Amino acid sequence: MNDIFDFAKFSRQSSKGIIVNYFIILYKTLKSSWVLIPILLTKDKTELNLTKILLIVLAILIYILIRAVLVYLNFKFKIKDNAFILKQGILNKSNISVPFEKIQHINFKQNFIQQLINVTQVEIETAGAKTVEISIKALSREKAVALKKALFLKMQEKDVVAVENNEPVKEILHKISLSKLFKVSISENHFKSLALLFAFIFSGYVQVKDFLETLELDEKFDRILEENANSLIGDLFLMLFLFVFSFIISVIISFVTTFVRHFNLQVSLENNTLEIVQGLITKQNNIIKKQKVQSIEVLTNPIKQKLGIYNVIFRQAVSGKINYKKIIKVVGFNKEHINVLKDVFFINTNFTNEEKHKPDTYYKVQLFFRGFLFLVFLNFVLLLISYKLLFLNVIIVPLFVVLVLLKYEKSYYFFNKDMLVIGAGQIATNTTYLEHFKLQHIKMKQTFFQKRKNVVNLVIQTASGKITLPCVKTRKALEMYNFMLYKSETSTKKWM
Amino acid sequence: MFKNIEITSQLPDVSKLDFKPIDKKYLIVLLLNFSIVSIVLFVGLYFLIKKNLEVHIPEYSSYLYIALIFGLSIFLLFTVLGFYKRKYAVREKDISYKKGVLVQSITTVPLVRIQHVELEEKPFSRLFRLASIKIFTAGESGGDLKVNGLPKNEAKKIKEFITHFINE
Repeated sequence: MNDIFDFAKFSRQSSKGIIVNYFIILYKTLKSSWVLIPILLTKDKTELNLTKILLIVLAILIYILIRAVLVYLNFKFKIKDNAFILKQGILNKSNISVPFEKIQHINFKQNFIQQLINVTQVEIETAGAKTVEISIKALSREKAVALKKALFLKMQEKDVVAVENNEPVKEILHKISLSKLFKVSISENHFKSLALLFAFIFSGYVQVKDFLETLELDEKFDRILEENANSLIGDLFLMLFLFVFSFIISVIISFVTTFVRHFNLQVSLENNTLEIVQGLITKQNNIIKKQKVQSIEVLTNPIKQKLGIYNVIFRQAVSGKINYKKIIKVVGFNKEHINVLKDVFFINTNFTNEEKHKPDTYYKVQLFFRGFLFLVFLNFVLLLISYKLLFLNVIIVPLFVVLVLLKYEKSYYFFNKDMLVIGAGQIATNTTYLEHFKLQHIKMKQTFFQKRKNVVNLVIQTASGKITLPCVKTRKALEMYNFMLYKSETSTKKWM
Repeated sequence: MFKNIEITSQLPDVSKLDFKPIDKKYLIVLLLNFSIVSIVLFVGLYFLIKKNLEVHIPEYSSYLYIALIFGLSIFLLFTVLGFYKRKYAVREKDISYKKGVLVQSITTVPLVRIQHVELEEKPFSRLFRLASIKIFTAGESGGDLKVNGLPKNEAKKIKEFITHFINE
């Protein structure tokens, strides 16, 4: 299959790689030197005339072009008997060799420029104490596919990938249509982006104020304020207006981000491996291997449930800091998809005979107490602004009570001999699936108050983060603690 | 409940483990650390008051000292109480650590999941021939389990035991 491409000899990227390199270096230069731009602008302008500036810019651009060509010329790779070899560097030459058994994933990626000139970025992820990632910025689609195949062939020789007798069947599990993506994006949790928006506004309040002044919105606000001066209705009106306005903006933000990120989503299933392709501006290609997945979280909310939409987060093992690429979100699954996923990833998801456990009622007390402290703090802040704002408690207090009750209502867990299922959420419903043997370490935590009620928090640490079961009766928690330890100490399966 | 109660009841029980307290000499290390922190804070407060606060609010300076003493004595109380709660246990297949006064916790790490072990000797601990064991598993960065104040021989033994287990 790789007759056309001979990987045994050193080969370069596609010559279009120069363009990609060019933009990467340009981007890096701009990123590292943008601080200088205002300094240059504030300098005495009489010394600089237009031709001079143009010449300097031209010189920089030519320098970048030469650099891009040199980077391209010095970037070579080949496949040897036991390793993938990569040579790079203009002055600082480096020679990286990756043994095939260390290769974890091979991903394809396309950003906007790469899509324009029709080249593919190939990323080779490796495992080890220090994560080495190799990224080949520009290959033609055919060459990229051939390289991937050649590497897989070598990996199979090394028994890294199980050798299949028959040709692997690639089955498309899920492909999102435009209308479905629209539904998914519109039913996202917009309050999350609202919160982000508020944080952004508060942090950049001054800039926003300047901006508003230029829009002369201030005067309009002032007029509205004057008309309703000192009246409660005026405050309410203003707040309602601000709220609706920012809510509309946050709806647009979360809609657009979801739409762009998951555009043209396609999930295919091959040998118990999921391949996910998505993205409008940057095309992401991720491969999720069964054994690397530590836990799966299924997310939905009331609107999504009505539409039969479930989002899924795959949490893969991470080494060191949380790398967001290892947490992959896929949107717009339906119930059947979820069942297929469960079958693929887990051995035993039979919970029909199992009892649904709720956290102890003390959890409710804990939640109310924490919420109460928050409310006291909030009222203090409101009081500092204006005593008139205290009327907001009419809305906040019942809302808070409902949220706490919902949170308690939605938290539960199932426990069978292979898996743990944890339900959480307030308005949204999140369900986490976790196999016992994926556990890294386990912890029981008990505050002074919890001790009196004889409940503990059970904290389960996996290679992709921790999962907490709040307020479980001590006796039950101990049983689970012992059982999960037993499972992971006797398991012969690889957790990663 | 579980379907396989027979196994569950026979499983090794972490609550019936024989936890060993850490070395008594580590309390002296903790107290030394505490006194250094206190001295630094007192000197800092002294200069803050002399240089700055005495000029503006002289009547409050004694209260500040009292507040600091109060805070430090509570800290001292919990350091001492907490010392007696620090216990560890090594089983054939896992290692457990217990601690905490107001928030008590037990952590267990299965040996099969350990990525690497570190033996740490800080200056004060070295004076008393003590060492810490730091255990790392996959996932979040930083030590997942740290047992301070082990006799150096014991710490070395545990480290060798774990290393042997991992390399098998």
